[in-house]
Amino acid sequence: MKDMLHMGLFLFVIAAVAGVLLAYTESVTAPLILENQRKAEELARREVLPNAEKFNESQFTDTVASQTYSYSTGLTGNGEIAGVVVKVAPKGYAGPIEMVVGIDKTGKINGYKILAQKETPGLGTKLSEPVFAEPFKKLISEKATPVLLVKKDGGDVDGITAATISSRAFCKGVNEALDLFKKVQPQLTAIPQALPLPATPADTASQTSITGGNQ
Amino acid sequence: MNRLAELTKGIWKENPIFVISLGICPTLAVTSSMTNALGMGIAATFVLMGSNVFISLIRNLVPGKIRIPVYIMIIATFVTMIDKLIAAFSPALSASLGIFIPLIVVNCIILGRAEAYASKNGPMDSLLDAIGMGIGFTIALSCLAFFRELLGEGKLYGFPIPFFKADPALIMIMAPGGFMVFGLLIALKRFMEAKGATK
Repeated sequence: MKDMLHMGLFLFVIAAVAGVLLAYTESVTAPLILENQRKAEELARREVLPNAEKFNESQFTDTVASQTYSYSTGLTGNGEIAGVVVKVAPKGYAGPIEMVVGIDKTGKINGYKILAQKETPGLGTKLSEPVFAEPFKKLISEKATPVLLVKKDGGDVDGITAATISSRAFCKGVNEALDLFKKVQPQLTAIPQALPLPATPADTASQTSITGGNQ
Repeated sequence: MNRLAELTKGIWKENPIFVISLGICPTLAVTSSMTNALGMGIAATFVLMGSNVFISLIRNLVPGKIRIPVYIMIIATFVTMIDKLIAAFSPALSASLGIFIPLIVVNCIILGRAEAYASKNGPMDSLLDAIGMGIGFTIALSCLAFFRELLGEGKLYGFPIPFFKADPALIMIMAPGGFMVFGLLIALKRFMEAKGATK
């Protein structure tokens, strides 16, 4: 009996100490981690839309499907709209492929960047490597209206050998981004550059929380 | 001399992967490239050092019957704190090592050494044991990754290797290739030991 009490108490103390330590670590690191993720995303946005110097969080509500989408509008130095950056997460081979797609104001894809993925190392992960990225860049710069499907499905995109599912998911993500751009295009031209919605803290928080699950 | 043996036993005689066969799950997962193998090896070594020393220090306080849950709790807390701290203060390191750290929580080598060694020996010996096991783990991972990356991708540490680049065998970087290389390397080690014994 005494033995059991002793063991129970010991486990209790260890668990309590562990709990306090973890809670303290979490409280110290959580804001810093969020900040790091925000910075990483900011860098990614600049990379896919180099013309833009400033980004504003924007929203678009599809009244037909009653769904709200978020995207960021990129503004050039003198306040003109450079394009938009859309974050998509198509379902890949082993989970969502989180990526940002930069689209300039004419609706042309400017670039993409993979933020987080769980694809097979050495196969699907090639989406973020030059072996896939270079031919894709070439395709979007040379062809005016490329069909964004893998070649196997009758499109123009040179998919990755042995990673068709990842390649298809990539195309799906890019098309999703383009679809959203088409929907928000009237909004972009109709609203003058005078409406740079400041990114509120609440916006940033919800934005970064989406990137949270990248393990 | 004795101390030196504590350090070196993890490298060959009691190699955690090839002899004790612990931590095989993360081993197969990360050995598809040399870079990953090295990252996992280094991350695991540091965690092992911390957990071995700490558990050795409290070894006389822990009631024997509940030692395993206590060790698990300590290791999980330790790893989670390291994971968070790296992510907060060194995003670059987190980007390269971050994916291995959650895998370490479930790495049996850490618990295995806590149970088999640190719970019975002093902190200094436990630290040496941890360093030796960590080095042994890193070397074993690198051996596996060397063959898998070279044959499966025609690269080493991401750099293309001329002859192998031409037509790499994709299967080597997938799970079956991992098992094949793993089995062959264990066989090779046994063969070398058997030869040494007959001489």
